[in-house]
This record gives sequence, C-alpha cells and structure tokens, in this order.
Amino acid sequence: MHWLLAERFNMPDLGNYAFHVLSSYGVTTLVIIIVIIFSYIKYTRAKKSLEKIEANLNGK
Amino acid sequence: MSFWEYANPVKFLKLSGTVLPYFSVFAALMIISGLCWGFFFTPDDYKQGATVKILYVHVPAAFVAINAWFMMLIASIIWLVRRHHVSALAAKAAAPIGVAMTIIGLVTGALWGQPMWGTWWEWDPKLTSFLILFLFYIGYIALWSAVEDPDSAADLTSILCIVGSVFAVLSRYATVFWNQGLHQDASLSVDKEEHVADVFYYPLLVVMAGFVLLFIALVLLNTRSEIMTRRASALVARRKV
Amino acid sequence: MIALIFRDLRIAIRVGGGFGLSLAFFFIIVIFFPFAIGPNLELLSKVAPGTLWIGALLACLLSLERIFALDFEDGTLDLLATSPLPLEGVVMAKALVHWLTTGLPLVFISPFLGILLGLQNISVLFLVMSLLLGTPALSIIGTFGAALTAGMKRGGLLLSLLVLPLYIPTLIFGAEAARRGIEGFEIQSSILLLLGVTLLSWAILPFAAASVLRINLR
Repeated sequence: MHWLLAERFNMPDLGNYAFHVLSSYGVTTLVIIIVIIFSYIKYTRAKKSLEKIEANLNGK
Repeated sequence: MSFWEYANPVKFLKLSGTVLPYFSVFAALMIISGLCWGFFFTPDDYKQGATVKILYVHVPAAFVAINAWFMMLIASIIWLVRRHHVSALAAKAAAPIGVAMTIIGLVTGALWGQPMWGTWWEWDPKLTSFLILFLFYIGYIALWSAVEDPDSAADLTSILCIVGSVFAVLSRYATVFWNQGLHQDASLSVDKEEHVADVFYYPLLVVMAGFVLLFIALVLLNTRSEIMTRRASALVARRKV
Repeated sequence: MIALIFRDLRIAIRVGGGFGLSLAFFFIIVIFFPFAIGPNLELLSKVAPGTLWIGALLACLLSLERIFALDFEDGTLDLLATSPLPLEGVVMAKALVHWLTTGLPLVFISPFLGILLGLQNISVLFLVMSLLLGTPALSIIGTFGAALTAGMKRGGLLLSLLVLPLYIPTLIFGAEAARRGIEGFEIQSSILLLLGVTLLSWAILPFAAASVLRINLR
C-alpha cells in the first residue's frame, strides 16, 4: 500500500518558483497555527478562571 | 424554537460546544486534502507555471479576510438592534482572525507577485485595498481594547464597524480610480468564462470551504472564551457587592 | 446652533492656541519636505500636491482632540446633550467651527506654500480648490473620531489610528484632483468624487458621531 502512496505523492517540479510556493504554504501554515494556539490558550485560561470562581462561589 | 434562542449565552455555549469539534475536524480535513490535491495533483498553469499553486492559499485567505469584516458588520448591526451580547462578542472574536487572514493574503500575494510581476509590492488597487482593510482591522481592535466598560465598547466598536464599512468601500473605489491595476479579475465567479480553469477550481473550492469552516470554528472558540471571561468578571463583581 | 458656533469660535480665537498652532504645524511640515527630498524644484513641484495634502491631514489631526475634550471635562457637553438642540446639530456646529479654525486658514495659506514648492500660477488654483472642497470632509470625519475617543484619558494616539484610515478616500480623491489639474488632465471626475465624499461624510457622520457621543456620555 505505502509504495502506491509514495509514488503518487512525489514532489512536483516547482522549477524556479520553489521558494515562492513553499514559503507561501509555510507562512500560511505558520500564521494559522499561531492563531489556533493563541485562541486555544485564551480559551483554556478563560475556562479555568471561570471554573475556579464558580467553585469558590459554590463552596461558600 | 428560533435562531435567536442561541443569543442566550448559556444556550450558545452548549450548542457551540457540541458543534465545535465537528467544525474543527472538517476544517482540518478539507484544508489538508484540498491543499494536497492542489499541490500534488494539479498541473502547472501554462502562463503562471508552478506559482499557480500559491492560489490555493492566497484566494481562500483573501476571501475569508474580506468576509470576516462583513460578518463583523452583520454582528454589529444585530448587537445595535437587538442587544444580544453574543453577537457583539462574536464580532470582537472575528477581528483577530480577520487580521491573520489579511496578513496571509498580503504575504502570499507578495510571494506570488514577485515572480509574476517582477516586484514584491505594487500599488495596485486590490493590494492597496487589502492594506487599507488591515488598517481598519487594527483600528477596530484598538478601540475594543481601549474602552473599559464592555457594553460601551461594544456600542462604540459597532458604530465604528458600520462607518468603517462605508469608508472601506469608498476607499476600495478610490484605489481603483487612483490606479488601474494589474491584478487578475476575480478568480471565482459564477460566470464560467471568467474564473480559473476547472483543474484549479475544484481543489480551490475545497480549500475555501475548509478556510470558511476554520474561520467559523475559531470564531466559535473565541466567542466561547469571551463569554466565559465576561461571566467570570460578572461573578467577581457580584461577589464584591 | 448659531449661538453655539459663535461661542466656540470666540473660545477658539480667545484661547488662541488652536488657531495658530495647526497652521504653524502645517507650515513646518510643508517646509520640511524640501529638506528631506532635496532642493530640486522640478521634483518638488511633482510631489507638491501630495505634500500639502499630507500636511493638511496631519494639521487637522493635531487639533481634533480639542473638539470635545474641554466641553467633556467641564460638563458643557452634558448640558448641550440635554438642550433642545439635537446632538447631531451640536456635532455639526463643532465640526464647522473646527473647519473654520483649521481647514479654512490652511486653504488660505496653501497657495503660498504651493509657490514655495515650485508650483506655477494656475496650478496653485487646482490645489486650493481641492483643499477647499476636501478639508470639510476632514473636519467632520475627525469630529466623529473625536466623539469616539471623548472621555478617554489617553485618546490621542488611538484617535489618529481610528481617523487616518477613514481619511483615505478624501486624501486619494483630493490629491488626485490637484495632481491631475496640475498635470493638465481632466479633473471633473475627481473633483466630483471629492465633493461626493465630502457631502456623504456630512450627511451620515453627524448621526454616527451623535450616537457615539450619547454612548460616551452615559
């Protein structure tokens, strides 16, 4: 099976434009990953602080 | 049972919590498969050569960047008319994603323009209006972070968003007037004659759908954290009183 | 409304600062361009319309913060908001006074600065005309921005961040009209578009600014 895949996914010949194409894919991936990570960190922080406060309230 | 029911933060949290994983998974699947399709299995363009592959990231990012502002405009109007907090927070949540997409659009555009037009940057109407869109996003985010009272902030930014939309459209036409450009016409349109060849079109559509799903998933996630932060501060305030 | 206009005008003249300050600022900015670009008159006359427009923009921006700041601090604005005059009218009066004290003087001294930058007789006229038609838009857009940031402690930087993007259409059409006139192209379309931007701004922004002020006064 994997030989089939490997044959299919061979690197296309990008010629002179390899730098441009690859770096644009790279930049896109990088920016999207940064946004996802930041949103996720913000989310976990908000969730944690809310849970802490709610636990405090219920404890009293 | 109406759509407005989800303006209730608790209901929104519940619903968004259920659908968020699906959106994220489908977004990831579609982006990855679409990009693989485009990267490995499409031929080079006869004119643009291999750079046509940049299209698969450039066009969806630009599409989302513009429509994120549009979504913010609608959410702002809903907030001003019906005073649903979720709507205001969704507009706030969309702005950083719009900025990210604008940056992707600008950078990939420059990377495409260098080999094709022979220059990284050209003061072409489309590029210029993207830069202007970027400025509008920055002003919007700055205003959100500058106002302390959350409701006033939502009101002020909503009005800024509406006024900004008018002036953004004006700027768009001003730049066309100012410099007739060398950018391609729309890559996507219902008119078959106009848009790019089918070979490029289908994978592009898949990636676009993926980007839209990604945008929705991120907006949901950010709105959830905004709601939670808001609720936490409300609880703290109540306890102090 | 007329009484308000006269009151603000009197204050502006008596306090003095506003009147001369932005004018002097405009003067300095325009004079600094040759220092930066070099004393080549031919080159300078090419960039003259842009230079004067950028100068006018910045001079306008400088004086925006004062539009509402004083009245906001001493409570005059609260009184005005409860007076029979609608807040939209107050905004228009304020914008008009701002234009009379900064925009109009700028228009008057722009021909002399244009000559300093190497513009010849008739081309100065195009410049004056574009500034005359465009600066009212700068004033009302700026008033909207000032209303947005009224009551903020450090609104200055934010104000320019918010207002400058809104200035783009005015700047493009205004500078374009002046440039086309000077280079001898037809200018009707750009003049009309510039006028259109100005009128549109005056038509919609008083409402936006008034609603923003009501929020800030809450």
